[in-house]
Amino acid sequence: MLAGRSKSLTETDPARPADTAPPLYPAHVRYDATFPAVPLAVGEIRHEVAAFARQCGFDEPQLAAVALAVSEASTNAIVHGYRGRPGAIRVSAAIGDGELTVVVADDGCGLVPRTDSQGLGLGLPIMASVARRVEFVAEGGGTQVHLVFPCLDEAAA
Amino acid sequence: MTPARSVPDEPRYRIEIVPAPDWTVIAVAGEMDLAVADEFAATVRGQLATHPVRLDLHELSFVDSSGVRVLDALLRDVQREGWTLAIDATLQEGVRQVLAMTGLLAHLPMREVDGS
Repeated sequence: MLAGRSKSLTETDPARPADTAPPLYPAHVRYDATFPAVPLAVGEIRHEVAAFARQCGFDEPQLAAVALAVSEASTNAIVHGYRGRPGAIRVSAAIGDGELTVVVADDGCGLVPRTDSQGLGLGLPIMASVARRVEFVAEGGGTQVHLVFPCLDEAAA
Repeated sequence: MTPARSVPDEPRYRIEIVPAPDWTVIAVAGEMDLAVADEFAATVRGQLATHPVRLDLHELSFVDSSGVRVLDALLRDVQREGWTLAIDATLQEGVRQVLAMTGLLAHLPMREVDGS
């Protein structure tokens, strides 16, 4: 699961003309936003990404999985990446190859073991339980968490 | 870098303390995450020190590891201090799934709502 350094999973598809009928999972749609690394951002990020996934056709059980994993990744960025210090969380989401990929990135202190770790180490196993794949990417000094979810037709296949 | 989005001033969360003859009922509604988990735990802990507490979580629509972490810590405090805590068994499915997934559900003092 800890994949170390790797290339980004996401690809930005070129924009399509607006007058074409939208496919079920529009590959040209992409979500990008930056949030302050504060506890109240966790809920906002969770809702924003879930709203994007809903636009892309995800159903309620899928949305619950996306919301939960994104909540964990955002919490990780604040608690472990920045350790409560000010910073920014960059969030992107895009559809490609029948999958939704959400990236939650921080410029914090990276994946450093700590003896004063809060909590029970639950965030990572929760993400792994509800996402198809989870990848941690050391990027600069910070961390990117890539969360990959199957689109509905893929999930049913 | 794109400018940082603003975040709401208030969490999507509400906690209400209802004193009753035998129990203090603490009702929680909305979403429990990093923004509110410690405040929730402090509120419950403050009541537990003086009253048996019944937690009503049926309007709780979301919980993540931040909520699981403080519930686990509360359980340990209850056992260590000899406090009395019960949790109404009416949980929303998503909340129940997270508590089950993390193994906490089996350890929570669940109480059937229609029981005494």
